[in-house]
Parts: sequence; C-alpha cells; structure tokens
Amino acid sequence: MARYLLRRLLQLIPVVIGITLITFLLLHLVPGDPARTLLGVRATPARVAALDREWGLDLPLPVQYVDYVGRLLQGNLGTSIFYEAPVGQLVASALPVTLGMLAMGTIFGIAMAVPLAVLAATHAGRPTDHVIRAVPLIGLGMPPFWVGFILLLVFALTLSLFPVGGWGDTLPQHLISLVLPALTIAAVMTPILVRSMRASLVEVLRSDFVTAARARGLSTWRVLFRHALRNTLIPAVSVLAVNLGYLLGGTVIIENVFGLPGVGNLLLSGIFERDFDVVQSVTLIYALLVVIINIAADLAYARLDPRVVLGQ
Amino acid sequence: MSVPLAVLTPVVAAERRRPGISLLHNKTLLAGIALLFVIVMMVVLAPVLAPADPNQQNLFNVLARPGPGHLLGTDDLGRDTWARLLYGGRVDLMIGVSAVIAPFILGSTLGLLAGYLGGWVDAVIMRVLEVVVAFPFYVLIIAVVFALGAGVSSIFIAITAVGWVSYCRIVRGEVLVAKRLGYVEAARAAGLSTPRILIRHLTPNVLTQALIYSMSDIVLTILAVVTLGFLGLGVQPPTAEWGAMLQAGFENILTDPILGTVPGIAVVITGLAFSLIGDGLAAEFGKP
Amino acid sequence: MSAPLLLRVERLAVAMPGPRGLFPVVEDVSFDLPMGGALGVVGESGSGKTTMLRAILGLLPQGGRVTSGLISFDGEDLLSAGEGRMRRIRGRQIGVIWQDPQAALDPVMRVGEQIAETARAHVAGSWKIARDRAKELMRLVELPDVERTYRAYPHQLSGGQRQRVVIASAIAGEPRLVLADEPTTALDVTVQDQVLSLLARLRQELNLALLLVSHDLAVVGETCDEVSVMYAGRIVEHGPANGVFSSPRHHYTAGLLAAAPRVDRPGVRPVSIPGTPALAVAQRGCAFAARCPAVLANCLEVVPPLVGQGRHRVACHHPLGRELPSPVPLEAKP
Repeated sequence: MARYLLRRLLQLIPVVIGITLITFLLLHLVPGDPARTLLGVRATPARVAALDREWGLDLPLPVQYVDYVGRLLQGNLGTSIFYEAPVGQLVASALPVTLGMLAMGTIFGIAMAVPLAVLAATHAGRPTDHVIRAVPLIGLGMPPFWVGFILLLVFALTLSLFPVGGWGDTLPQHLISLVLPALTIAAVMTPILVRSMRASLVEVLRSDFVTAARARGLSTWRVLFRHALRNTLIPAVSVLAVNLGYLLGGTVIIENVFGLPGVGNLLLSGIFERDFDVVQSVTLIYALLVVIINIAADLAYARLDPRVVLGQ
Repeated sequence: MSVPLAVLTPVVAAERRRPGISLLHNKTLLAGIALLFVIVMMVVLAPVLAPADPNQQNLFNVLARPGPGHLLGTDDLGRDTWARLLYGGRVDLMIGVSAVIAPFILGSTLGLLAGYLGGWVDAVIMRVLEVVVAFPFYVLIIAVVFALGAGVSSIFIAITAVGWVSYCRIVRGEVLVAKRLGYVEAARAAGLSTPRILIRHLTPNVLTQALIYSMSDIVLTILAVVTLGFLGLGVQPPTAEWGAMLQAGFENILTDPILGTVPGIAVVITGLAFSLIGDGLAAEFGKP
Repeated sequence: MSAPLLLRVERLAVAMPGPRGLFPVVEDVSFDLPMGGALGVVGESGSGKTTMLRAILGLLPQGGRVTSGLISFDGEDLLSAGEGRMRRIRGRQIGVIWQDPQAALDPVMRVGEQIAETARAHVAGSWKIARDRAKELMRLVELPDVERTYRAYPHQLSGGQRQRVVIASAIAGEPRLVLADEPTTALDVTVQDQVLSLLARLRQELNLALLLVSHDLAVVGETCDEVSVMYAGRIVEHGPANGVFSSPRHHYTAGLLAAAPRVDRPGVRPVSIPGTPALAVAQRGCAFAARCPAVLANCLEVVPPLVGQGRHRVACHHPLGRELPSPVPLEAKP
C-alpha cells in the first residue's frame, strides 16, 4: 500500500502544478491592476508603480509564477489585507469548522440515505419505491442555500431549537451550531446517494449469492445487512468521492447562510473585500482537499473490497 | 453467472424500452415535458399573468402580505413578488438553458478528439481535465466570476470553463466503447476518412448520452445562476432573478417569509421538470 | 425400496412472468425421493430443471409462481408453508449446491465465515461452536490447509475449492436432503470426478438424500439410483438409472445417449439431436415432436402421458422397446 500511495502522489504532481497555475492565473484575469484597485481611483501613478514594485507585479509573469510556487513550498500562503494576518493562520482556524460540518453532514447523509435506499430496493416497483425515487428528483433541484434557509426558518426562527447561525464559543455550542448546516449538506448528499445505492442494492438483491444465502436459511436480517448492504456500500464510497467536488463547493454558500467562520466564508469575504491572497490561497486549499479526499477514498475502497488489488 | 437461471428468468422489461413506439408510454418523459411546458408558458405569458411591472418600486408598500393587486405580496423595495417571480423565471430559464450549449459543444468536441485520436492528445486533454475537476464546482465558478467581474457574460464564461468536463468524459467514454466494439475499424477498412467517420458515424451514437446528461446539467446550471444571484455575483439588479429574490428574502426572513420561500420552490419545480425529462430520455435511450 | 419417502412431488406446474403474462415453465412433474436415495434429473438448459429446484425451496424469482401440484417434504406440505417455516427448512432440512460456486458465495466475506454462519443459523449454539464446526466441515470436504483457507476470500480459491466450500455450507445445517444444480458443470474435468466421489462419500456417511440436476448423463449415471429425463418442462422418461440408460424408451433419451461421446467406443462418433431445445411447455402434442426421428401425426396433437410398467415409465406415443446396439457400461449405486 505504501508503494501505491507513493505512486499516486507522484502522479499528482502534474495535477498540483496545474492547480497552482490556475490559481495563479486567476488573479491575473482580474481587469485592472490589483494595486490600483486597492489604492483606489485617485491614486497617483507613482504610488501605484511603487506598490507594484513592492508586490513584484512589474516582473514578467513566469517569474512571478516561480516566485509564487516558491513561497507556496515554504508554506507561505500570503497575507490578508483585510484581516491583517497571514492567510495560513486564517485557513488553519477556519478549516476545522468546514471539515467538521462536512463530516457531520456526511454522517447525516449516509444515515438518511441507507434506510431510504433499503426501503426502496426491497419494495422495488411498488408505491413505496416510487415515492422514495421522487426524493432524488426533487432533491437534485434544490439550491443548497435555500434548503439551509428553510431549515433556519423552521427550526431556528420558528421553533427556536437551534441558534440562528453563528458559531458559538464552547465546544457544545460549536456542535449544535453545526447541526443545521450539516443537515443542509446531507440534503444535497442524500438524493445522490439514494439514487445510486437503490440501483446497486436492487442489483445485489437479484444476484445469485443472495439467492444462495437465502437458500442456506439465513435470516432476512442477516442476508440484507451482512451480505447485500456490504456489497452496496463499497461502491457507494466511490459515488461519494466523485461527488465530493460538488459537495465541497456547497460549503461556500452554506457557511454564508449560517454565518459559520469556515473556509467558505473566508473565500467569500476575500472576494467581497478584494483580498487577493485569500482568494488565491483558499481556492488552492479547496483543490488540494478534493485531491486528498479522492486518494483517501481510493484507499478506503481498496481496504473494504478484498477483490481490489492496488496499483493497476 | 448461473446460466439456467438467466434462461428461465425472462428480462422483466421495467427499464429497457424500444424508442419510438413506447415514447408515448414513457410516463416520466411525458410528465417532464408537460411540466416544462407549463413553466415555459407561465413565464412567456408573464405580462398577461402578472400585469404589474416587476421593476416598479413602491417604497410605501414594502414587504407587504399577499393581497389585492399583489398575489404574493411585495419585496423589500415594494416591487410585486409575483411579477418578479415570472419575469425572473425568464432570466433563469434562458441563461440556464443557453449556458449549457457552449460546454456541450466544447466538451463533446474535446471528448471526441481525445477518444478517437488517443495518444498524446488524449493525455493532454485528460491532464487538463483532472486539474479542472480538482476544483469544487461552485468555488471555481465564483472565483472566475470574481476575476471577470459580475454579470451575465461572466456567468457564461465561467460555466463554459468549468462545465465542459462532464461532456468530455462522457463522450470520450462512449468513443472508447465504440472503438472497442469495432465499428470504427470497419468504417476505416471501408476507406472512409477520419472526419467523415467522426461526423457521420460516431457522433450520432455518442451524443445521445451527452444529451441525456445535458438535462441534469441544465438543472446544475440554473442552480449555479441562482446561487450567483444570491451572492450578488450573477445577474445584476434591478433585473428580476430568483437568486436575487432569495437574497432579499434571506435578509428579510422574519418579516416576509414568502419572498425567500417561493423562488426556491420555483427552482425546485423547474429542476424537477428537467430531471424528469432527463430520466425519461435515459430510460428510453440509456444503457440498461 | 422400502425406505420412507423424504420428498414427494406430485403434478407440479410452475409458471414464470413474460412479456405477455405468465407462461408455463414446468408442467405435470411428479417424482418420489426416499430417505437416503438419489434421484437424477437430466435435461438441457431451458428444460425447467432449475426452476423446479427453486420451486421446492420456495425461492422462485420475482413473478414466478407454482400454478398447481404438491410438494411434500417428510409429510409436510411445502407449498402452504409460510416464509418463516420455509426459512427454517432451508439449510436445516434441505441444503443446496449451486452450479457456479463463484456466484453462490459472497465476494466480500471470508469463506470460512460463510460456512460458519450457516451452522450458526441452524445447529450451533454460539459463534465459537459454529466456527469449530465450519473447520470440521472443511476437513470433511477435503479442503487443504483449513486454518488458512478459512480466512480466504472466494476469489482467492480455485474453482474446485470453491465448490467444496459450497458443499460444506450446504451440509452445515445437517440437512437430510441436498439439492444439487449442475454441481460439476463449472469445474474442470479432473476436478469433477473428485467432487462426485466426495458427494458419494458424504451421502453414505451422513445418509443424505440427493436430488441432482444435470445435463451430463455420465454425472447422473454415476451418482443416482433413479433418473428422470426432462424436456421442455415435462418429464418424458423415468426409471432406475441403469435401466433408462441401457434401454431408453424415449427418443430424446436415446438421442442424448447417442450424442454423448463415449470412452468405451472411441471409434463411434457422437450424433447430436437436430434442432434446438424447446424453451416453453408445449400445450399441444409432444414438445419433442419437431426434433424426433420417429414423429407421427398424433404426436403433434396429443400430449403423451407418462405411463409404463413397473418403475420405468415413458411419455411417448411410440416409445422405443428395444436395447441399444451395445449396452452402456454405467455403474449404478445399489
């Protein structure tokens, strides 16, 4: 497994280079000069030129790129103009919030999707199944932030069961304030999972080894959970991984709706405050997260499915 | 698997259908088309169904409850919510559908080339694809729109830059399967030139899958447009647009829950229509 | 045989769903199996033999159903037994050996565990007992290196080893009857013999009754006392194994024998039966009429009934009444 890991990491290098290239170019797409944008319309050309020189913006692009990669490799993610702090620090304090929300959301999502998929698959073709299959149809069209909005409206404002956004100060408060956002993430994840799990479970239930297991007189419970579900959950890992890009992106808006101090909100404030380093670095972090999660999913899949031999 | 079982168990024709005759029996597809028809009619007939001017402000009547003259009340600037809903629908639908065209063409072309030509062309395209895919969908779109400045043209560029990926993957996959099936070789052996093979023989077959995907892509695009509108990065005010309405609704969540709820329902219903069409097409032409 | 009857099937008819509603797949099938006895059912793919097995177990695929007849196991009517009762019978009273051992095993569970869970479900009071029993069974079916094989996954074993695992899990519940659906078809020829002799040994040691279904005459002849020949959902000939094989009465049976390559007569070419096997039950006339060398007018009109003197019965309007040119040296178990 270590050799496989090493090989995957090596294969990543061109991708990572590409990522840094895009994040670098992103800022140079911005019309106008960053220095002038910062200093305002009335800045004198001399002051703009001075700031340009200070930031190294007057150097040719390839040189700037090399500088950029250089400082990245040193772990320097730049400085935030707005917060007046190193971006690395900001990201470090924001990352646990986002990851915590994602983790909780994934747990909720699986907890909701599995029973629905099981119900639908075991009643395939009957009314229960049709009702459950409507969930992905409707769910995929729901804007994530709107779901958050509705949850806030019902559970926080009307029923006062949860705080209306915010992060709180203590760990219990943190966890409670993550519940509604996590449910929102689950609302995005569950339709996707239900759809693929139901299809895969229906196929598994029709397969020969399930018939053979029933022929051995095993209880329905055991056949379903120990055999059928296990074979279904393994490909579900791939489904999750594939959709992760979309789900991570959803965190940006959801954090905005709930006022969570996570990486997504950091990105948005960077955009609205035209805080270039923040935007650049957070985008980079997001891309790296996706790449890391994909590798982790591959490893998990290999661990779970004994038939998979790593390293094709 | 167990051969005698397969022989004795006839394929219960739940998913697989022959196109053409059974199109009329494809309930999913029909439901989707019907729903879409209703939605399109409603936004096209907006001037008739909602006589109020969607941009007409009335600062003496902000955030009003539904009442005479205002089916759904008014928004934070006194504009008629019902009118803004229908006119906003025009904007979101048009952008949602048309923004998918460029990624479709770009992605499918690249996918065709990558699959058919293979070699370094394929390698380069796939590397670029991997890099783009590494960025979460919304993150990249927001970042690109930020870089280019808010507005409709930025939305188109951003969606094209990010959305071509899925089409490329699907078409490339189909081309690879077609190559393996051998009918590309047969055409080559018959002496047909490369462009002719590509256009006349390969394209019609592989594009079906891309077309089916484009339905769910429209749903995704509408969601993206609405999200950008919500963040203030998309269609700019004062144009009526569902995302912008949702933002206003969010800010006034306590006084006017309708403003924040109804546009969302509109998005869901529109998404449902396209999803039904996509599912219906998939049952018709998709892989079993 | 005066041994009490273990399994009795009377006029069984099974139908399966098709594009135009239910169509019959098994029609008017009857046979008896005494305790400790061995009955072979010979037929090609599509003859309905696997459906028949599934009907006995109550495991017909979705939409299929028994349309008439009686299945009784040790005096108990299986067709009116509820799912709960059937679940207790499966594995505990009746074990199954499948054709494709790879398909019959869960790919993500260790093979030993799969044997153990069957034992646990029926006869073992605890998991420890079940695991020990599983290892005992693995030794009984002659699996090598039991400790390591226990922990192996199906894809890590050879075809023959997998089939032994399937056999072990089939007898783990200590059943009295074993149904075997083409148990050796998916195996190499060299392994086939080993598995068959293993089955024979187990039958003797555990006094198991065996219902073996196969298209391979040699396999049936080697293991079974009585044989039924199935064609297009019906039984066309039935009788003691060596009787049926040495003097077949039905033209289909004769055709099958002539089509089988024979080691004892290397110079003789096998002759295949012309045409393709019928897939559905014939409602009018004999289903084999289209391929029969002795077909006459009434063969197309009237379904021939299964009749005959003694235990050798045949369903044919003009059955064969003579010996084959040279007798077939098959061994039949006493």
